[in-house]
Amino acid sequence: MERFIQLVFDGIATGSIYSLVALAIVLIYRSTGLKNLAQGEMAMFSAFVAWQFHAWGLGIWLAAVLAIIASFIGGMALQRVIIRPVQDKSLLTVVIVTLGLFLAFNSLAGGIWGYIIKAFPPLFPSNVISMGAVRVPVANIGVFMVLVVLAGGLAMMFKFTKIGLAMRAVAYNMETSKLVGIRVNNVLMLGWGLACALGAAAGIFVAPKLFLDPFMMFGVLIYAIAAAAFGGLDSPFGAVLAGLIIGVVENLAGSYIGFIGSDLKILVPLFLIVVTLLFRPQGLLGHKYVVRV
Amino acid sequence: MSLLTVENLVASYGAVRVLHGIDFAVEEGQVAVVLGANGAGKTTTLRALSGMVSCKGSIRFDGTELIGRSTEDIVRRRVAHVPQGRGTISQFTVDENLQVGAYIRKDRDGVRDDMERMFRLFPRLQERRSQAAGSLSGGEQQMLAIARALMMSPKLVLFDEPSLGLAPLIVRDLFDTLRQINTELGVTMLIVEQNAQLALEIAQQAFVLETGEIVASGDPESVGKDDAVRRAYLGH
Amino acid sequence: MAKKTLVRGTPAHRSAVLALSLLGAVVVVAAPFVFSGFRTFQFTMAMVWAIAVLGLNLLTGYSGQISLGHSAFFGIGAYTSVILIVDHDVPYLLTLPVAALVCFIAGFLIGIPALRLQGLYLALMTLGFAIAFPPLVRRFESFTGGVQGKSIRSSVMAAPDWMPLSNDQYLYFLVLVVVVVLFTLARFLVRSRVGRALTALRDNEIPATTMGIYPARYKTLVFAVSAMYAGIAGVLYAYVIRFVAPTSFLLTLAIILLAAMVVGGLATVAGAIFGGIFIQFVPFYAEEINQGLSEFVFGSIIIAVMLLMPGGFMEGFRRIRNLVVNVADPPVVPPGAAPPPSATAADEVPATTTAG
Ligand SMILES: Nc1ncnc2c1ncn2[C@@H]1O[C@H](COP(=O)(O)OP(=O)(O)O)[C@@H](O)[C@H]1O
Ligand SMILES: [Mg+2]
Repeated sequence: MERFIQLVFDGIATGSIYSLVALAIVLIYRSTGLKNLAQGEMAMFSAFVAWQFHAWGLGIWLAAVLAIIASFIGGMALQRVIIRPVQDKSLLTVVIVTLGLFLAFNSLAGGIWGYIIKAFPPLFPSNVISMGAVRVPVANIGVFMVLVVLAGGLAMMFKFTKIGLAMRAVAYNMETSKLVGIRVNNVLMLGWGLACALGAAAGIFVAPKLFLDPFMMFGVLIYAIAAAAFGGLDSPFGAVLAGLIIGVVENLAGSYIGFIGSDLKILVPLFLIVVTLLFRPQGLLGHKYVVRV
Repeated sequence: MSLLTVENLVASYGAVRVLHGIDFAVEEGQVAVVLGANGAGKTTTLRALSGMVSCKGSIRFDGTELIGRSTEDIVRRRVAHVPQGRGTISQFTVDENLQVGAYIRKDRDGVRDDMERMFRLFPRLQERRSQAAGSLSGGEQQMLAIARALMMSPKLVLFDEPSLGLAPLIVRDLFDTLRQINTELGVTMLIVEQNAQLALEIAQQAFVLETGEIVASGDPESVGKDDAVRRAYLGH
Repeated sequence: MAKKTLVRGTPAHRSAVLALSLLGAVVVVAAPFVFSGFRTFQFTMAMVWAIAVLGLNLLTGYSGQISLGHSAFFGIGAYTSVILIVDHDVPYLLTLPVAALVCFIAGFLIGIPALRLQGLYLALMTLGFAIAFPPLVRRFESFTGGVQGKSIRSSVMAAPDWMPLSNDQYLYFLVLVVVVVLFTLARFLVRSRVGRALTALRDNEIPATTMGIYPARYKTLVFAVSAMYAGIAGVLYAYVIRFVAPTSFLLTLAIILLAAMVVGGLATVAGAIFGGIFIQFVPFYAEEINQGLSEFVFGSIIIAVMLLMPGGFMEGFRRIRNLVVNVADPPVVPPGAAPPPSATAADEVPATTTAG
């Protein structure tokens, strides 16, 4: 039993990581209607930026905040320069462009910082809380809290603020949004900026756990996409919940089903994606819209 | 001086010219109707007024020139537009559609009052407040689109074939509501229609558009009596 | 000099195309005898990539779907071939059809769920497949050789004694034969009823359905064919490189194939050749400057092409060609109308469209 609880707690910790990245995917989808496949790589890049600030002598929290701000600005610039010209073109075009970003960010990080794995300084104290035989590192709790705060904040922004309303409006229907006076291009730019800032936070909080290297997000991305798809692309809470579920299921399956082991854990999100797509394409908590024509 | 004065308006899609220099004016507080067959350029005219197609000439609204301004800017000068088909965000609830309609307004209390007013005007919408717009019937969606446009407290509302696709009884209701809105709220309206009969009944001014040119204008009575108009738009 | 106009299908146009093709054929056949062994190897690899790019283009260019799993199909092809050769002493030429079949079936199975849904779903599922492939290979170590990989002895792939060719030249011609067969097959597929149905699907789903075409079935089929092309390319890769390891088939390979496809030109068969050359030679020169640079160049070029020249290299090619000579489609003659005055003898006007 204790082993089981331990595995669940560890699963929640990894699940928090998936959820953080999934949240960024959901944010950009909800605010621009796009699925940005480069999200993970951009998060990784931001984590490197934070690492660099720290290496230059800043405290790690200050470095993190600066990297998040830089990512916000960088995201807006990317939208303005690269995404806006293809915004109105086919889905295929936009996807290909985000894949170009994927490759560019991955190799840019490798080119600047090299391919040797770096330790990322911890953001939380390194002690471990023991409850009987179950041990929970404070860092895991910290990441989980960050996740809850960000998901809650995001959901509130979408639901209760004017800018949240405008973001959703733009994602759903650009023309009507223009007709109510929303400055659509600015909102799209803001959406990218926020998603990149959130992605940066995700990258920075997962980096101490995964270690820093250009490929650190490869594994996470598929889990995050699975979480976003499984939870519902337009639902922040759905994505968080799904990310946590995936983390726990994966951990339990990896430990109790001998055949799966640690290498085949990756089949868990794949399986979830397939099942979701086949039986509930809108996801666990996503909305299915009936449109009468 | 008229609220809206359009002079020599020319609009094209690429190399194809659709409006060949049209002139008309809409007086403050009045209802003006533009009649025209399919493809005459009615939608294009409204889109030009809202800054959604590039055009030349002059559009003076409330003392400022609109040509060259972005849609967002024009809307902020309180020109509302109910586009052809669905002018709502179908994934949003009725409430959210009304809220987003008031996006440019800063006066929260005024917005709340206006929301109440919309629900008095369209009781059906109140019953469906938290339903997604896409799940409403065609008539209800059109009501919602109109309410959404009124939420910005506009000086001028452009309607693009509001009766399109609605059952005849509902169309009558719709025009009664439009008349009521005009008299109670004093909102100036420019309505584009193929359904000439009812539109002429509530209008104080009428124009007839044919392949990008205004071919008749005046008060609704005289325009309605015009033989060509009768044959083309009134069916007798 | 006044610019000439060539009308497609006229004798003048056909002779021009024939002359250029002959010239091309001579260059292609002569190349391995003119260039060094290393250059010949590079050309061979460019052709291998071109096959994989063509497979991807059949899918994306003609059905508007994206696959990020082609690195995995490529890897499956390569591993199938190597395992059969090394562990089961299968003659290497025989492994090609086997691996092709394996990839066809794998593509079919993955395509069944993914292609029933629109939008990005195929991309997402295949993305997962691409990410999962290397760990899977590592997991079944006894079978695949795990992280260490597996290699083919060089004597296995040597040129037959009766051929007066070096090993590099032999592989070059071997791959060339496959390229010719697969490119011809692709051209045929694209122009067939299925190909035209697929284009109809890409451009608009609803009319295709009313034409009695079942989107999901055709899409699954084309995805399987596309996976097969990638698998065959993987087999040839194994012949040439004689070594496979999990890290050779990462997701980045799939994205690079995609980049090459875009650069060559979406929905063009010939563009895949340029795509192959691009994959082989860009890293070769870029990596001299910086290790990470080649992929950065790939990434930036994808974006630049999509922003500036969405038609890719083939669009550039046409633009340059049009500086020299205009190529025009023949005027469409409505049935029953008088033939244009230029067509004096009826037998000089070849059929330009094949009736469906
Ligand atoms: N986006 C467009 N691109 C090209 N031509 C258009 C476009 N929209 C409308 N047209 C053409 O402009 C003309 C006027 O169209 P429109 O203003 O929609 O007419 P109406 O609303 O009176 O039916 C028509 O001939 C139509 O074919
Ligand atoms: Mg119209």
